[in-house]
Amino acid sequence: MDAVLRAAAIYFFLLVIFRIAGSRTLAQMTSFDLILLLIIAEATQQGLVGNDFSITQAMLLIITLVGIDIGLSLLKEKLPALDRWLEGTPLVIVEDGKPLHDRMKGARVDESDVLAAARELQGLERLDQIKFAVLERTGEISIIPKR
Amino acid sequence: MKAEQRGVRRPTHAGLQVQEDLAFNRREWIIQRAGWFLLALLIVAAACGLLGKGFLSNASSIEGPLKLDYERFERVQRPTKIRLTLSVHSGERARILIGQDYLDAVRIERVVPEPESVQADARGLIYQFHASGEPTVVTWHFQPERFGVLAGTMSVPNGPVVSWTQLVYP
Repeated sequence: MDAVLRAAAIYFFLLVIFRIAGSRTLAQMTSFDLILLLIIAEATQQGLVGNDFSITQAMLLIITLVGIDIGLSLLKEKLPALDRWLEGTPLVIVEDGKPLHDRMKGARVDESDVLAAARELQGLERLDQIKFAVLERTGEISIIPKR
Repeated sequence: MKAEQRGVRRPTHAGLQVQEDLAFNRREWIIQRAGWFLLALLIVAAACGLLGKGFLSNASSIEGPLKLDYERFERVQRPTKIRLTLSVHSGERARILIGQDYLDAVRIERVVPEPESVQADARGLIYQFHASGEPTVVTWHFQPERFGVLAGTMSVPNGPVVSWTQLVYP
């Protein structure tokens, strides 16, 4: 019982924290973000395992975490509103080479992020070569070039 | 642009098939910013001791010759202590009774100084210490074993009773 409660508490806590932090927070994975992720994992582990180092505990934790994940994915299919709240929605941030500033401000993305994605993904040089840039639910920026 | 500002859903951006919901996004951003504020508050509160160990957490309870220093906020299985200062006692012996309710909820690791004897009583445990001067200071090192509100009593047997309450976080 203890393991199930621990896993559920940690799962939903992390879910809320990462939704508050925004999808961009760990999406770009600089080397510092990687370190941050490792530290978060380390900090989580103690609370998750407690002082029960048995295999049963470990398996129970994994089952609970995966189980909640499956359960939520089923629920999300049924309830689009829940899906939006848990995962967010995609957002167009550049249209016809013009940045949509209020959207970018809200989502905490700037032009240099868009340009970086344009270079990496499409080898584009300037903003006006972009037809659409979309901030995806994963926090990544996808680029559709002008033809 | 006007329709967008009113938060009306635009299904497509000139041929781009993307399920946008700007009204939702705006709500999301407001909630996110409120969330940042809450996180900041929580961090400050925790730094001050609202979640344990800090000036908001330190407390004392005084009753006659008994003064008990404890923490208002504790956490399950975190090593902690309570400290009793006994300013008057009879002779070279100090006797302290701790109520059974409290003992049930904690695991006592060490008592400093080492008691001469520990005696089980209907009301709890009676610790007897050798004490040559006044005041006598005794510290119990222990770990809370369950979360919730923890109420304890400590007394000189058949004398004044000092009581305290702690909140133990999971």
